[in-house]
This record gives sequence, C-alpha cells and structure tokens, in this order.
Amino acid sequence: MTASVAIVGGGQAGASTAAALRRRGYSGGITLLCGEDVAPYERPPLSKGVLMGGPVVPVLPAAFYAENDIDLRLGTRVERVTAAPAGVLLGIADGSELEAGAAVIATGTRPRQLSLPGRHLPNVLTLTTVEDAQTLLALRPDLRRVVIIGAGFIGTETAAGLVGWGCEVLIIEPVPDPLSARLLWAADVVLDRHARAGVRVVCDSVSAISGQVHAESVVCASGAEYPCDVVIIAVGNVPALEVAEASGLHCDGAIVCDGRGRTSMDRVFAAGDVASWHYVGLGHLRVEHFRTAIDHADAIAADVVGDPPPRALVPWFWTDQYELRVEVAGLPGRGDRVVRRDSHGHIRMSFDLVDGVVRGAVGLDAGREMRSVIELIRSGTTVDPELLMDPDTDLRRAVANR
Amino acid sequence: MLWTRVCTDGEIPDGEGRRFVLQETIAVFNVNGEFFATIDICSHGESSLSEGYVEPDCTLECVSHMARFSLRTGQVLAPPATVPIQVFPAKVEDGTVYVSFE
Repeated sequence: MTASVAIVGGGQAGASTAAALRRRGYSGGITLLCGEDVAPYERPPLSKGVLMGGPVVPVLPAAFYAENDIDLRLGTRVERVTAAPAGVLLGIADGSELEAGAAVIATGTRPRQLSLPGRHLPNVLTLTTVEDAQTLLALRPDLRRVVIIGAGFIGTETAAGLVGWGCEVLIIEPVPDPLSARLLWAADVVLDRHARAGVRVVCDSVSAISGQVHAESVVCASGAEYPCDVVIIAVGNVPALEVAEASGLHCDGAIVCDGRGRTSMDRVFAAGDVASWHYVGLGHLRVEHFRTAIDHADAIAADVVGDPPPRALVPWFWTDQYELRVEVAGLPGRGDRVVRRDSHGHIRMSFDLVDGVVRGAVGLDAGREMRSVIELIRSGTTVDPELLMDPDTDLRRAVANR
Repeated sequence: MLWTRVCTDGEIPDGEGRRFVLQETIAVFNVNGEFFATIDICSHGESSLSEGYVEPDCTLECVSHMARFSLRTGQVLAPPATVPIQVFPAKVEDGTVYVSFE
C-alpha cells in the first residue's frame, strides 16, 4: 500500500479525504496542505447559517488532526506535482519539496472575476471564504442597501440572509429566468419567496461599479444606476487549475478523472470542485457541491487502501433559502418524460425519466423522498411513473419493492 | 434503571422514526421490531433525526446532509458528522416502548 498521501487543498474535499483514509484504516502518512490560514471549514454555511448568526463549521474537529496523525500545514501553497520513483514529488511555493506515495489534488474553485471598473473598491466583495464572510459581517451595522451581482445559489442565498438583516437587497442578473437551469420549476417558488421578502431581482447586466473611495452605486447597461453600501459579486466559480496545469495533468476546464478520481498521472487523484469525474449513466461531470466532495474523498480513500469502489455516485445538492429547502439529485431537465408529484395542489417533486429510469429529480422540502430518489437513480432500474406521481406512495417502499 | 413510557409499539412503523418531546427531545426508531432511541438533533446540522433514513442494519442516515450513525452506539459511520449522537436504552414491554434517560 502507498506509504503516504499528500493532499493539496484544505477544503471539504481535501479534509474529507484525510478523514476517509483514516476511517478506512489507512495507516500511512497523511499531509494536508491548505492554502488558507485556517483549518478546513464547511463552505455551504457561509452564505446560509453564518449570515443568520450561526457558527462557521469546521470539516473536522480541531483535535482530529493530531489524534489521527494528520500533518495539517496551513498557509502552504503547492505549485506542482511531478512523478518520482516512489510516487510523487510536490513542489511547494516556499521552495521546499515533499515526497509522497500518492497525491490528491483538491484545489477547489475561486470566484469568477468580472472585469468591471470599480471592481477593486474595498466594499466590493465575494463570498467564498470565511474571511469574506467575516468582512461582510463586520459591515453589517452600516449596511442599508446591498447590490448582489448574480442570481445563482450564492447570490440568492446571500440575498435571503441580508434581507433578514433589514437591508434593502437588489440582485442584478442578466439571465431572465435565474436558477431555473438547475432548479427547474422550483426556481419560481424560490424567486416568489424572495419577492415576498422584498428582494428585488432585475434583469440587466452590470457595466460599472461607481465610486471613488468606496463603491457608491452599480451602473447597468440599461442606464439604470443603483445606489449601494456594498456590492457582492456572485457570478459563479472557476476551477483552480494552476497546480494541475503546472503538473501537466489532463484538464478540460477541470481535471479529467475516471470514475474513481484517477487523473492522467499515475498515483495522482483529483477530488471535489476542481475535478470532473465519470458518472455511470451520466458521463463526465464537474459537480461543484459539498456532498460530491465527500463522495469523491471516500472513493479515493477506498482506492488507496485497496477496498472495492463505494456505491455508484449520484450528484446531489441543496439550497436553503428562508424556510425553503430545494434539493436536486442526478441530472434533471434532460428526461424524455417528466412526471410530477404534487402535495395540496402544489408541485413538490419532479422526476426526469429516460427510458423509464429516473435520471434526475428536484424536490421542495422533500428530504426523505429525495433520499429514496437517490437510490432510484443509483440503481438505474425502471420504475412505474404512477408510483412517483402518487403523493400517497411511500417512495422508500417503492424503491425497496421494485 | 428508570424507564419512561414513550408510545405503543404500533405507533412507529417498521423502518421509521418518530420524534418525542420528553425530558429530552428524542427520536425513536423501529428496525424490524427492535426499538432504538437517540437524541433527535443531528450532531452535524440542525436537523431532526426522526426524519432520517433507517437501514435494516440499524444505521441511520440524516436526511439533511446524509451523515450516518449507528443506532446501537451513536457512533458516526459517515461524514459530514464528526461527533457521535447520544443514544438511550430502549425496550418494549407488553406493546409499550420505554426509554431510559438515566
């Protein structure tokens, strides 16, 4: 078995890989190299609970690293990975090197930048790191008007949090039907809820952020100008591919992996947001979500210790906004047939079927049912659409009895 | 051991859980006729474990973020949870489910 594993990147995927290796009984050395100066923390709460006064949640308890003999190195940037006789050699930014039997690249993403005038003013923020969240929280007493650029998940979740602070929140989004590409019908439910909370969403594109010392307003292509105390840019993320590219790994907008996270270089794996894995029945996907990072970590750990591969992966994510939770499993929106499950006259779930097999689903406040749907997607067996549509069917039993 | 009456065994179908507010807020599960009691709040997120997904091998998956626990010991079996959940002894006598908070 590999004598040691070096993990490049201290996000959910990196820390989860360290924990999964130990959970699977790996006794070799583990080094976790984190670019940030804080131990790995969960990112989903930054735009959700943290804005409501909740805590920053560590991926692993602080004592876990020492107790499990994991060498946690904060503020350490890796530049490249090269093949070495006994495994791999990591080049670190301070000029030092680290030898390991295998490496896991889990460098994640960074916020997509907009080349806008005013982009660098101090009250123009993104919300990706705990430092970003702290910056925003520190501004809270002075915040009256907030402009959020981008109505994706981070943008809309943040809007829900900030409107709860009593701020006037405006989201500027060039796409006329935001969220719908991923949430389908549930996008309307979420956006209606935002409208009721007083969040305005305008369809426009931003041409400049105006202000001398601080951002004072956001100017749009339509000519509209929106005064603000803070601007939050939330226009998606791009994979942080520097290490992968410097190492010569095969990349195609993400690090290309097989179904177990193996990259084009021997003994080098990639996990989480930066990686595109092969999914049974779905093809290559880069899934930028929390659960995928955890699933990748476990699959890689299994490979390292020689365990059989874990169950087939099914992409799954959720968004919490106000009291609503929307969950998405698999790849909805691509079915040859779509069936709905309603509750009290409102749509609650939708299922996308391809040749009678569920390939994707969207659920609104349907956690238990979604868990069953993940099993259905995973199994790849045909299911009677009537069972899916009937709100009185216990989906879990339908899965068990199929 | 001091036992507190919770419900009748028929109130919790096989493979399901129910939430009860007693001296602690607990979740009680029926796995093939065997009953288990845990604290109701997941040690990871603020989610009711009574809604969780019970497997025949006496494991529980929280529906919120898919952390898994042993119903027998409370031990964490899958992330994102890292802290075990509290479990309470449970028993069935004459069709009544009892839990001990001692």
